Amino acid sequence: MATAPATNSLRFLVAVGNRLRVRVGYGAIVIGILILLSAVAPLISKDPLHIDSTATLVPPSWAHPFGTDQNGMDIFARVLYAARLDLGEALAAATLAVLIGVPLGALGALAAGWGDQALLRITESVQSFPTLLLAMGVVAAIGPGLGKLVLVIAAVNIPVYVRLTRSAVLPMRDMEFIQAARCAGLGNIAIVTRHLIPNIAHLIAAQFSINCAWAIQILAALSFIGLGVALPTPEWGAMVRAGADYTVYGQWWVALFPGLAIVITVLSLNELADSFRRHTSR
Amino acid sequence: MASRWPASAELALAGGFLALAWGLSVGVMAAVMQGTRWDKLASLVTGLGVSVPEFWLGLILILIFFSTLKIAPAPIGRLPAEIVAPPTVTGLYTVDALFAGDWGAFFGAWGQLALPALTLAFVGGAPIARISRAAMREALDSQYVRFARALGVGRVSVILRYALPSALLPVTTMMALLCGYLMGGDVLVEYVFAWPGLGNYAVDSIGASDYAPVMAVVELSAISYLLIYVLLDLAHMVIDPRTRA
Repeated sequence: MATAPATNSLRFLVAVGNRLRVRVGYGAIVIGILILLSAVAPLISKDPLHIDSTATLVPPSWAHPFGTDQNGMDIFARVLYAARLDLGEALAAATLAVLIGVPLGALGALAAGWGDQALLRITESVQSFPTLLLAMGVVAAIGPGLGKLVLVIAAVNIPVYVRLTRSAVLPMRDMEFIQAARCAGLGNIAIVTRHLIPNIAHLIAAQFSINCAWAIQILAALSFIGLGVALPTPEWGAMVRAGADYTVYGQWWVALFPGLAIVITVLSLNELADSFRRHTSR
Repeated sequence: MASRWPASAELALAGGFLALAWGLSVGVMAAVMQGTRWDKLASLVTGLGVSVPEFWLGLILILIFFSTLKIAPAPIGRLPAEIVAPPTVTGLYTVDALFAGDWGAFFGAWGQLALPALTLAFVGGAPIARISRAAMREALDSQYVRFARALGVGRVSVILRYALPSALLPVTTMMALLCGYLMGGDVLVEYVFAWPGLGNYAVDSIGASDYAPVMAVVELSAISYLLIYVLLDLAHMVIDPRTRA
């Protein structure tokens, strides 16, 4: 069985891909449109950091479709550019959590010894904190910064993958195809990558897209209370924070549009997760 | 922290009750009317509820009811500016004002509480509605409910006496999760409405770069989370006969 590593990982990707046929629902479509819009943002909008002190707090108009904020920055441009940051950060954090959590959970379930028990206790202790508060506490302790935020958001989500994978793998552990693989001389790691992960890929994909939604919500919430991304960097939560005071006085456009962007994105990601999961129940 | 705890508790109680009320009733109704237009509407509303950021929803409610319609009071905390807090009995202004017979404070306190509690309830009730719909659906499809129907038990009676009790089990778990979350004070809602509770205390300290209170609030909610889980397990032993081995 001495195949080159390249063919191995290719075979792994094909096996995973084969099991991820999704019915394209509106979730996938909206996310696609969002990614496209944020990619072409420089073509269709202004500079998100351009300060125009002659046009502060302008209501939505043709020149500024979503209006301008207190610094005269164009909100339409900022919402589009923020999609890059928010989606990118969510993808990075969720990917990191999957890459660490899934193999740990699968190996834990296979090894089933003290390592598994230790892993369970650690995930339990992390999960006993409410996610947002835990992220708040950690960020408050280590200080803000985008890289750190990605790490923190990934870290608070790793336990979910560990437990998800573990509970999906446990009933499969003694099935005949795993025993056969073992008889054929495969080690734990080969069994995990070649046989177990492809079979739970849809569950992980569903969790992944929920996880992206959480990551966006956590990042926006952290920025909103002043722990995440700070102005003038375009980020949805920070933009809502900037508009919070003006909303009370009736200048609604500053906070409305970035918040709406969060709602649409998170709603679509949840819908995407549902379509992955529906695939399994059939 | 002791002085801020009643504020969080007041908001948590009001929000929690409202969340349970709308979540459970919408969930059960959606399950009973599965596949109809109402079911689809319910899933859209609960979908919104789990997706909308609390802080933004709070702002939008302020925009609608305070800035535009002018029927809600300004979001400045637990009491309108001109009203003095009633003497402390329970620490909940809405109850204390009643004890003191102070009607101005009573209506003032409820008025201030309305919007933050609604915000909390909408966001907190959505997962409850989803769980109770799924659990109720499962119960209605089960053999024993079909058997009860075959015996000619009335529709309402089947739903309330046969299906609902077993569907409530996962709902208690969800409710416990929500309680645990609310115990530490809802950071985001309290911040938006300038509610002087634990969560806002933590945010204020962040602003002042004083991180010890943040740690204290995080610790407190982790501890109350764990306590509530222990209580939940004990409660399940009483409610669910299957766990009594």
